[in-house]
Amino acid sequence: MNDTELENLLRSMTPVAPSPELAGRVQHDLGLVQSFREATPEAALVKKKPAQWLANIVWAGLGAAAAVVVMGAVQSQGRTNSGLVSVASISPAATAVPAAAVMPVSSTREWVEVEDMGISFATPGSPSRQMKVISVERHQWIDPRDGAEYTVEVPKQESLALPVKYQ
Amino acid sequence: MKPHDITADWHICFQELAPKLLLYGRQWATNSADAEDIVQMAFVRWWQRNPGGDREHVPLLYATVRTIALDVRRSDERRLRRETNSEIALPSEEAPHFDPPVEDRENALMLERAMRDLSPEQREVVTLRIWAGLTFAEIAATTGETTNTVASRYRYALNNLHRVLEPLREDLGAAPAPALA
Repeated sequence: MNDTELENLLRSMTPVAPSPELAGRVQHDLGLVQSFREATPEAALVKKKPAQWLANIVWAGLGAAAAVVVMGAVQSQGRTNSGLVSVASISPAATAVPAAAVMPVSSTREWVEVEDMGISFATPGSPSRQMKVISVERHQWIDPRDGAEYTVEVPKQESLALPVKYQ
Repeated sequence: MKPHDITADWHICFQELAPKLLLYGRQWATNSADAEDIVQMAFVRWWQRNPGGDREHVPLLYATVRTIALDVRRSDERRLRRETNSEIALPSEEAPHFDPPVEDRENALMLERAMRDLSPEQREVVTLRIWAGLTFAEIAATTGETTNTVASRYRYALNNLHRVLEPLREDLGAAPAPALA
């Protein structure tokens, strides 16, 4: 078997087709983008794009601002709240970035690591299990005009105190 | 001026490219559902920028699949580490990559196994060259390697495939090798 025969043999294998639902999902996504484009004022669509370097600086600034806000919030929380820290709190970063023509896509929080720090008997009669949670908040926006996608990742470390009951 | 309607005319392009994109996406994804998610994101993003589906920009589509797939894999690896630690990890799926006619099923399995034995870098080049139909220069642009590196990976990959498939020549229905003088 020479190289050409081998290549022909490989080419003769047809890759598996995707599920029929995939085309429907693409249709749905493109429809969403299209409706957003149509709803966006014409002026915004034909508006000249700012220089790339300016956009880079703006996004870098927004990212830094978001990081500062989050760090400030975490520090102040740490100072005022020594007990249970709410996991479902809304990150200030989620509200810091959106601009007029940018559409939020997703806001997720992923637990990267959970460390068991053991049981604490600091408060008499109500022991609690101390957990250290390291997570990453990921916020995504998309600019439907040019498909540009922006992602901000905010790492966090929190302490959880889970009440323990003994039978 | 009305914005260009991006919801028109994408079906034909998608039908033609989706199986190849899926095959490429499965290089990194642990299962076909994840690979489909990757293809969905990549195609939508690409089509927004190339509403006509210009062939010239198809390499960019593969590069988009690659970028998204690597992002997803990074996230998956973190999740897997967590799940492994908590002992609830799920096995990755081993669904077939090819859809041959019934009489060629065994051949397809052999080829698939041979492809799986290649290194990830070699497999990527073969997939982009054979099924995506990209040139070495386009593959180099997609993977961020030099053209020479890509060409040499392809050569090594073909050699490896030859080695694995040679004993199966008759099963694969290939013509016998010419006798040496």
